[in-house]
Amino acid sequence: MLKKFSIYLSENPTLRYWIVRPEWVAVILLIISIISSIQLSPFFADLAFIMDSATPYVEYGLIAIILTLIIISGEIDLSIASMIALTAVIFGTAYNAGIGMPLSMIIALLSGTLCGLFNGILVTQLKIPSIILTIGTLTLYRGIAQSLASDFSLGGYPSWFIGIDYRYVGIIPIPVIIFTVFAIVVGFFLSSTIYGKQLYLIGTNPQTAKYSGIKVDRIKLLLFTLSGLVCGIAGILTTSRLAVARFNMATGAELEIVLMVMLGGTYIFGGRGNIFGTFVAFWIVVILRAGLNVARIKIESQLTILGAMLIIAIILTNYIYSKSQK
Amino acid sequence: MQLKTHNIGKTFSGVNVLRNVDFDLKPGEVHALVGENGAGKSTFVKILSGVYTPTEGNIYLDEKNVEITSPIVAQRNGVSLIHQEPQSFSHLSVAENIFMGHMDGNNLSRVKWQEINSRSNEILESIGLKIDPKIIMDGLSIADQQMIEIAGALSKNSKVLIMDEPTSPLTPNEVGKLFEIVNKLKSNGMAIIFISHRLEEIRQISDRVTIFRDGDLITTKNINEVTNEQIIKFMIGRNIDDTEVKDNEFLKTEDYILNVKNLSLSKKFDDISFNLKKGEILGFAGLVGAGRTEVAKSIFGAEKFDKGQIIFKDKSIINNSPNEAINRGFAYVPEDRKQMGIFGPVAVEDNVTSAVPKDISNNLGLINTKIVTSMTKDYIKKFNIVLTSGRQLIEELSGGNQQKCIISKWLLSRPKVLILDEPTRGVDVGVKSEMYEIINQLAKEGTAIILISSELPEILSLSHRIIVMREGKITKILNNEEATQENIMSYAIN
Repeated sequence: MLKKFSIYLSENPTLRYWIVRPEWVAVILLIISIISSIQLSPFFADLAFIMDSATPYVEYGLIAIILTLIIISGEIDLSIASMIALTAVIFGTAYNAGIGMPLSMIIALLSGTLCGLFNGILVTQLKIPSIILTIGTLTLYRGIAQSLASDFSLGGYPSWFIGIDYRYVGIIPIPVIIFTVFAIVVGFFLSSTIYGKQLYLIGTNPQTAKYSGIKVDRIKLLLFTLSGLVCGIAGILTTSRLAVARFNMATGAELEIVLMVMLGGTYIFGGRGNIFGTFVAFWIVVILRAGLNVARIKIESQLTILGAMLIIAIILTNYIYSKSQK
Repeated sequence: MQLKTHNIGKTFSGVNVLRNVDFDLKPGEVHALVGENGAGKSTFVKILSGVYTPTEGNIYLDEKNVEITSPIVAQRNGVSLIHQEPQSFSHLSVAENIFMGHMDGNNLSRVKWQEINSRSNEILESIGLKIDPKIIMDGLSIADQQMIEIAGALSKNSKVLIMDEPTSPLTPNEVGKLFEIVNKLKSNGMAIIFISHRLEEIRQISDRVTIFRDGDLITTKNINEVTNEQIIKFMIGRNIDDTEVKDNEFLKTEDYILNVKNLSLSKKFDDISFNLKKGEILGFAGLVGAGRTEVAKSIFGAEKFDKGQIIFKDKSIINNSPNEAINRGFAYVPEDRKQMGIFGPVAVEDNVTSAVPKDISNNLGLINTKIVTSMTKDYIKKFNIVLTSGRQLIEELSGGNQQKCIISKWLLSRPKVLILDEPTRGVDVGVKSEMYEIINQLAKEGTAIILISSELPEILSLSHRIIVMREGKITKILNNEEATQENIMSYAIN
């Protein structure tokens, strides 16, 4: 039966294109996590509660969307969490130096962009594998943040700046709106423009891409730079939410962000994946975390469940890709 | 040890690459194998050394029928292969490399280092090599690494030594040293198979020579019974296809679109000069490794060059990247289709349109999928590409159809200069003749074509002029009328 079906699919490429897609795994996992969370606690089925639970993850979600592009093009950026902390600390330091809010924000965004540019230059010009390089800059950027702020919490911001997660449009917090709009814009860019198409081609075969006239290095440089910029935005959002900036903000967040991307069915070796998958995976993480909190399951056990889900998602994703290749 | 084969044949997925090989090798003999690329000599020695198993036929060692099913079985039977590029473990010691795979341990499986080092020393001395067996391989010259591979074969008590183009990475001095060792081994009764493209070396070192052509063993001769001309004749003796080179109106002009002057890249090619008219097909002949692909890549901007000048449409240009080259009107169909030609798990239509992003999108970069599909459909029809739909993954197509897709991709970019690097490799005969028609048609429409091919009949039946390269240099430029397989081969070899 299954064999017949797969033969049928290989004869109908358009149908296969729609059916054999790993983001369906993410959708199924999302449905399962919603159902099981409601089983755990009847209070869970409250949309306002879910929305509120989502705000702390928006900063990660924004970066996960850019990271999806980077992974599709065959690279990875693990310095993201350190860039959040560094830009937040730079922002706090600048503001406390009395240069005013707008200029502090610009400096924070600029420093994030520079950090990303630095990653990009080393990866594309010196041909250092990004997984190794960004482990290096992960430590470097966190180190710079620590030397700038030592163990102080940089606070003292005006009240209008603090608590972006408590501003709503209807019942939807502003960060969730930012995230959703960003996901739609980037998703459209990836699926419908020539630049998006070229990311897939680069990730599938960088050699052929180069010989086809695609500016592989320049595009990768741009992606890493963009990653730095978005980390700067996330750094400012986090500072607004927590009202302080510290060097150890978002420690270990790079793994949670990579988890979102992979849970969404993006192929770690590049060439496949999409924003819809990452968007769904964001909500899986939100709902699981919230559901498990409501059910009073300890943080330690939550990690076990998230880890197990990631493994399941990876196995299914790989299985689906192996089917779609043959 | 005496080695004989009877009726050896090999078939790869329905293609017969080796037929009815009856071969014999005597102890104390150096026996040279020659033939064009793809003639079957490498397949044959791979069968002898256990890399491939023959589809039919028998191998006899000292009159005893043996089945050589793997390289280890071959080594146990005393047959060792010395690779063209030495296959060494560069971070291990010389002695470890010599005894790799057969280090006997003591009762606790501990390696007996003293014994291995002293035996390595003995073997190295026996072939007159002064190398400390304890030093690390890294940093030894290629020649020394090759000697150590030979020492490894001796440590396994090999009686038959197969050397696959051992001299090609060596300097003349090192070749002399290698031949001394070969002669020493020969006088000790070793039977040696020696593959080389350099006829002078073959004359110098070997006793007999066997010529392969298109999967057949043509003949075996004592080396002093044949001239170089006769050997070349045996190598290429097949009938030339009777296709005529097609003339066109552009060739009558003196309108040179491309003029390459003294192009050099260290260690790859040296002082390459040629020019190319609109509508002209310029063949590049030579052996694998002669530097033809490297020249093409430098012109296309995929690699740099050190010296020289490229004049395109009367202007001096440098293509810093394939992107610049494509925008100027260059196109390159690479030799390695899988690594550089296709995006494997991607739809055919996305492959075909991958080099013309501006033609399939608007100013904002939005892709017009209707154009993508219709552009692809045109070429599917024009070139008879066999597939279920444009959304099928390109890796699911046959080699010939993949190649047609790649040609379509480059024709979409409307190239002025089209570089084809082994365009019919791994393509069946039917598609081949279709490909020739396409190439002739393009020339007729005024495209300037550089055709790199290792198949002489292909070069002869398509090219208006032929450049022959050897070891990074142009050795001759021939007009089609004066070119024959014999003179091309003699310029390609020596």
